[in-house]
Amino acid sequence: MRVLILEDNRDRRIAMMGRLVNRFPFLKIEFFDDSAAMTEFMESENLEDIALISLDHDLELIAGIPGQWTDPGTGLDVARWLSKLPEPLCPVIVQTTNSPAGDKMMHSLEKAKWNTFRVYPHDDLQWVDTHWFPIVRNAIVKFAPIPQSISASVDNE
Amino acid sequence: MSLPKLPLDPFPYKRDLRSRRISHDLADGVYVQDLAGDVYVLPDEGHVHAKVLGNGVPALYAGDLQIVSGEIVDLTNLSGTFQFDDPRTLCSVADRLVQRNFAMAEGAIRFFPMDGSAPYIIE
Repeated sequence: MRVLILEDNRDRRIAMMGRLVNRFPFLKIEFFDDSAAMTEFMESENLEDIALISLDHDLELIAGIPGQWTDPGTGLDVARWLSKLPEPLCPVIVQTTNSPAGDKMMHSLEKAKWNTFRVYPHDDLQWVDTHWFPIVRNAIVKFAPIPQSISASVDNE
Repeated sequence: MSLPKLPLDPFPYKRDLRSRRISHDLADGVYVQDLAGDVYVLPDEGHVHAKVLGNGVPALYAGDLQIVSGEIVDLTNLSGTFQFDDPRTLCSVADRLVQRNFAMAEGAIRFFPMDGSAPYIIE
């Protein structure tokens, strides 16, 4: 089971990782700081085991060789890419302080019938504990990919 | 049934003063079942499984749960601190809670294998 997170802030990543590992020790967590890298990853992977996607919007320019910077795109690029898939894969959290951009991401995903949740970062990293993680926990527990064939009584094992 | 387990985090945290036997007014949180079979809970605030019983004592089982209007809507084995990996014992925790007059929603018992494979809904 995997979670994909578009988040380029180191402190946020550490806070998110800490909470996830503490509750879901088996979870594979993939972080991205570039929207194109995230969509390329999703294009190349079997996504059946993706339990959740979490997207920031604003991403910092990425330093390359001295004097050169790469534009990492935005979370909206990923939201639009997801909205073009034939069907939703998993719940998506939009976590950004950029309200207009966050609204666009939500609109794009909701129009394509994705199950979406909005989180507004605040109070430094406290929102990761108080708002982001409870949504993550409930979304994974409720919507985790559960094959019908093993949704059975343990008496049948 | 699984054997009792010590917390994987060996630090002897003090028992959190808010830790108490499960009751109907809890909304959601983490739980730990002690060796007597009683289920204790704490609000879900990060690394708290080790503080439910405290002092590094072993547990029969642990996970988290969500209660809506007195009904348990989900009950899991999710705990990085204990990592219990036996679905039958999760069922016995559910039975214990039903004995304490909790209603259990359909599909509420959700077992997450610790190898990361797909979770079960235990009917």
